[in-house]
Amino acid sequence: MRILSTWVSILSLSLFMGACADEKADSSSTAPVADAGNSSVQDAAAGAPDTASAAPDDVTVEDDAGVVLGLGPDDEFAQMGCALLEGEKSNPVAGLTAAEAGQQLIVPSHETGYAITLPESGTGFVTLEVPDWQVVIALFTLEGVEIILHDPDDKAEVVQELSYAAPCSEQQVIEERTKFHKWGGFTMELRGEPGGEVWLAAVDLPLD
Amino acid sequence: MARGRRSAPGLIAALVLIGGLSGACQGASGDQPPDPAVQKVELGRHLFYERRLSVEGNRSCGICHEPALGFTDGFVRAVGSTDEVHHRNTLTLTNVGRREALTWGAGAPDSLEEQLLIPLMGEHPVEMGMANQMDAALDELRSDLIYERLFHEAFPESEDPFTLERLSEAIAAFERTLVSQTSPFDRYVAGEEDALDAAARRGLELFFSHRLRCGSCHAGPDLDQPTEEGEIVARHGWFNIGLYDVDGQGAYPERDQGRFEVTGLQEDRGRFRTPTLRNIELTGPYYHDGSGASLADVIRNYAAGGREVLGGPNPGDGRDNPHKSDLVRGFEISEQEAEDLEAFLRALTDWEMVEDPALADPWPRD
Ligand code: HEC
Ligand code: HEC
Repeated sequence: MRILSTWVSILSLSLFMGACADEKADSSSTAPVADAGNSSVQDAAAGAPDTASAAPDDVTVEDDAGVVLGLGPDDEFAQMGCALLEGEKSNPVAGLTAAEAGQQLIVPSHETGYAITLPESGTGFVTLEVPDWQVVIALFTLEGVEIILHDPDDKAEVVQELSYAAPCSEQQVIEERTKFHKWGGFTMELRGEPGGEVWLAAVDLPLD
Repeated sequence: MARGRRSAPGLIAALVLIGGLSGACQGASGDQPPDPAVQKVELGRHLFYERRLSVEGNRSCGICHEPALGFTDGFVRAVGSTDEVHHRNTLTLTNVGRREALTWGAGAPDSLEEQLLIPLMGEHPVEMGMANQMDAALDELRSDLIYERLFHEAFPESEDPFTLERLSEAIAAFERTLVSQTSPFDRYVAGEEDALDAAARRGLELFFSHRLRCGSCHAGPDLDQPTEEGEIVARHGWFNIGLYDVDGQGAYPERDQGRFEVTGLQEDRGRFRTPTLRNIELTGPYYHDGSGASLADVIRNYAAGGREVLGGPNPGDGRDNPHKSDLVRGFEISEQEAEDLEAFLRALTDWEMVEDPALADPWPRD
């Protein structure tokens, strides 16, 4: 149960959630749930390039759930994430509950993207195995999917807020980068279309 | 409980000795040669935490067997130097010097000296990945002033102590000092009544009760020995506790069938060695494949008489596994009782041990 008590970040499309990610220290115990089907998502996509240079403080709030996302860094890792989502993917199956997260491991990779099957509930659980200390991992997925990284021991921090992946923003690929101060297995909660697939790429950046 | 405790005074004496002398030895002057037995452990400690003994310079024994995590690593299944995922969860090394059988499965070497060659040089999976690099690594250690001193102090008779054999002797000597005997449970057993609070005392009773039967498999000084009516019947036991039934005929996930992998006997499918429960609070996630997220989940699974896996790649009802032990039958347990049982399990945490500077990483962490 402890595992469910805190969380570090949410890949989704709500400013509310982005703001909460910054405030993880206040040990908020319930993650707000985004409406993945919110129509402002599409508006956000259309507006993405215009907001690329906007400072986070300037982000326009569209309504209480939607926000115009900025563009993420246009670097080799973003390119890799885009390519992995585009290419052939392996097909893991998510567990049904947090207790089943350990049934399916996701390992950061520069070679494989994942198409993860979700349960009929639309919420699935996997474990992200973080192989190093102080490693930054960029997670890529498609807009509308929500990824909640459980971090009960406060070992991770978001270093690049949720944004469109610059090289493939027009495909509605979003990304967020998290620095893990310690390695280990982290429970990842995925929310998307019931019984559908969540596309995911987990790209680890080189250690400095 | 008495059996294993008998050997304890000797071990604690060694521990005190090491702790006391390791600092002093740094400045030992020529007239008092350091005790080779003590220096062997000290050398072993340096090697245990030595990352140059991994192919990518990012793993050591102590990285996967970290004191703060009860000498485990926090992974579901261990990740080796080249990021290869192991098929098993990392075992605690707490009191590993007393184990007669090593690893979750069967057929592994039973001496620590031999066993450590598997993580060091094994290729399936790669843990430290030193199969083709040991000579070069030993050469590198030879040119390091700290090792130059430690190897010679540990093996004063040896002309060239920089060999794989000496290295494994030293690491194993250090492993034998990973001794836990000051947990609240130990203090309680030794007669210190209030070492366990009321909840943990109730949990202890439940643990050994006829209803729960935990003690039938988890008994003895390290809670890893099977018993019958209180009598220990084997040093170690291998059991299938009903975690999976992938094909409706008792199969566990393909990557690991436990003892069956070695014996080929159907009844050995899904049988794994009963692990020690010492420091269990720190060593999660649980089970041979790390698929148990928390102690509460583990208790729930026993209460249900096994685990039903609903999602993920290996669904199936482990409760119906035909190879499941008769001792895992399920039981009624109230919420309060489950909490008490967990309180008892937490009373097996030995903070004195996991925070002991004599067992800690001697290398500065960057
Ligand atoms: C990549 C992580 C990793 C590294 C590095 C590693 N281990 Fe392990 N260790 C494991 C895993 C996983 C197991 C369980 C293996 C099994 O059951 O087959 C284990 C099991 C053991 C055991 C058996 C414990 C028992 O109760 O049976 C011993 C002893 C051990 N390791 C010692 C060492 C030593 C000494 C080193 C360094 C030379 C080392 N390990 C390096 C992951 C690691
Ligand atoms: C039939 C023998 C048996 C009984 C009875 C039994 N256990 Fe176990 N226990 C095992 C075995 C074997 C494992 C490892 C199984 C595996 O990983 O597949 C284990 C694993 C565990 C673990 C996880 C250990 C780790 O390091 O991952 C805990 C905690 C545990 N048992 C507690 C209990 C409690 C509490 C009870 C009583 C409710 C109990 N056990 C009853 C044999 C038993």
